[in-house]
Amino acid sequence: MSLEARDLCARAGGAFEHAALRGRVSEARILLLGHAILLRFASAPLAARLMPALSHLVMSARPAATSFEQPDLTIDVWDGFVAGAAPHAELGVAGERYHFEDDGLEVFLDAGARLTVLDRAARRGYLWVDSVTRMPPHESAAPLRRLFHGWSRWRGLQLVHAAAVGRARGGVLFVGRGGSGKSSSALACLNDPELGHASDDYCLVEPGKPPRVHCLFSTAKLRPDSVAALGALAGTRWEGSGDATQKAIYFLNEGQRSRVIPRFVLSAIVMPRVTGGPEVTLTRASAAEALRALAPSTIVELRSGGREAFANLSALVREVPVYRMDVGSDRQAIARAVRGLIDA
Amino acid sequence: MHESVSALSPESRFAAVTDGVVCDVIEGEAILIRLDTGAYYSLTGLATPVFKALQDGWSAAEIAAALCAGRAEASSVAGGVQALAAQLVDEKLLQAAPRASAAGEATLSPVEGDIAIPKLEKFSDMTDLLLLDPIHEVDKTKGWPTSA
Repeated sequence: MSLEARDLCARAGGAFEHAALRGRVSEARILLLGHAILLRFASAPLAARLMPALSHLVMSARPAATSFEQPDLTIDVWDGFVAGAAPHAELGVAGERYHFEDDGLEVFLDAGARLTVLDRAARRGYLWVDSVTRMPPHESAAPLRRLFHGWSRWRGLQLVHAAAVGRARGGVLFVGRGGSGKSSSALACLNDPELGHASDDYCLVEPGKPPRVHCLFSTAKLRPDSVAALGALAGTRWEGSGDATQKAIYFLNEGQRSRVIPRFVLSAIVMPRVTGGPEVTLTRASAAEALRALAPSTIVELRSGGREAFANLSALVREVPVYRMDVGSDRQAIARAVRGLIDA
Repeated sequence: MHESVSALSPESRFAAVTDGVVCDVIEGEAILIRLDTGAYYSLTGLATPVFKALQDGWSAAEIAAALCAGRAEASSVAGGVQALAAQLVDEKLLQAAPRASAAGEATLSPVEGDIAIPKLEKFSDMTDLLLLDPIHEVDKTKGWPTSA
């Protein structure tokens, strides 16, 4: 019920204020498509975990714009317990995941260990985690994803599950189900000095004719054994367990700043498929195939706003040509093929 | 009004399911997604206009008659349409509506040559992911479950 959610929202605000009393609150202001978003951390370790992926968006100077004085969204982030209690108190059964949305309020409760609240009317977002050390690694790769998704819905934008690379005159989205090769295709383009990286997993799409892709998270995930093939990542800071079977998170803005492209006009949608052959081949595909490759994972992963997301994605796939790309062992050929699509 | 799949006949009528299902038709292919399960589906060829007619309250017999335009195979075509309708009902993408009547303009034209009604194609990769780690939707009227 909304009353419970309203109460939860108030409790979250109170818990953040209480956490803020324990120590210094650090602030960071980021700029997304001209909108200022204020991030407040009552936890230095959490700020250290979540901010690197967003560092390319941080405003170093404080502009005079009124929108900056009045952020479009303020997100409060903290960890730990207040008087031994989590902000969601007794709501939810331990270990289960919940979603609630009504009356401008959206709540995610993940196994009692993470609470995300977004209050549209108050333009406030909250993220609480029980322990920074128990946070899953992917949280560093795409931090505050649910809050950015909720905010993007207010602004008529669409968060999409896709990898993205491009340059000034255009770029492509790589779409497909997990394991289809979209991330590895995008990462293969890192070795091409003419192509910038905008997304490994999630990016923002601004609808229009043509649509524009915006980089939200300047991270790339890949296994250590793949790094050797990507000389471009030398000197880039990374986080990971060191386990060769687990992907590490590379923070491209720390060491490869010039390789992060903030935005580009969308030239094409590409559906990669890893084959055993040596070459890369491109064939035209239908918009319906692109919608099948893009919509289910985006909608299911993000959970909320499925109906409008489907409409947005359905419009998106009609705007640009769609290609099926068979990816072989020649990684440089992927970048050449992408450049060809942009220049077409 | 619910009607079991086994009770469907060539005269059964249907209505669209709008709650929890999104659908669009692009270049003749209908893409449907069940928002609650993450399952997604594709209808191609003749199945797409047949699905639209079923949503508009046409019975399998009426659809077959429109497609066959008096030809003898209307009965077997109706069987194919009925099988598709049963699949759609089973997947909760279409609902039986015994009191419905055919509505909307006829979008089906007679088809020359062999008539085959393509089956519904289902993709379950996202459903499998959701089943591994489900997210419970909190009921707006019942409120949150509690651990207390």
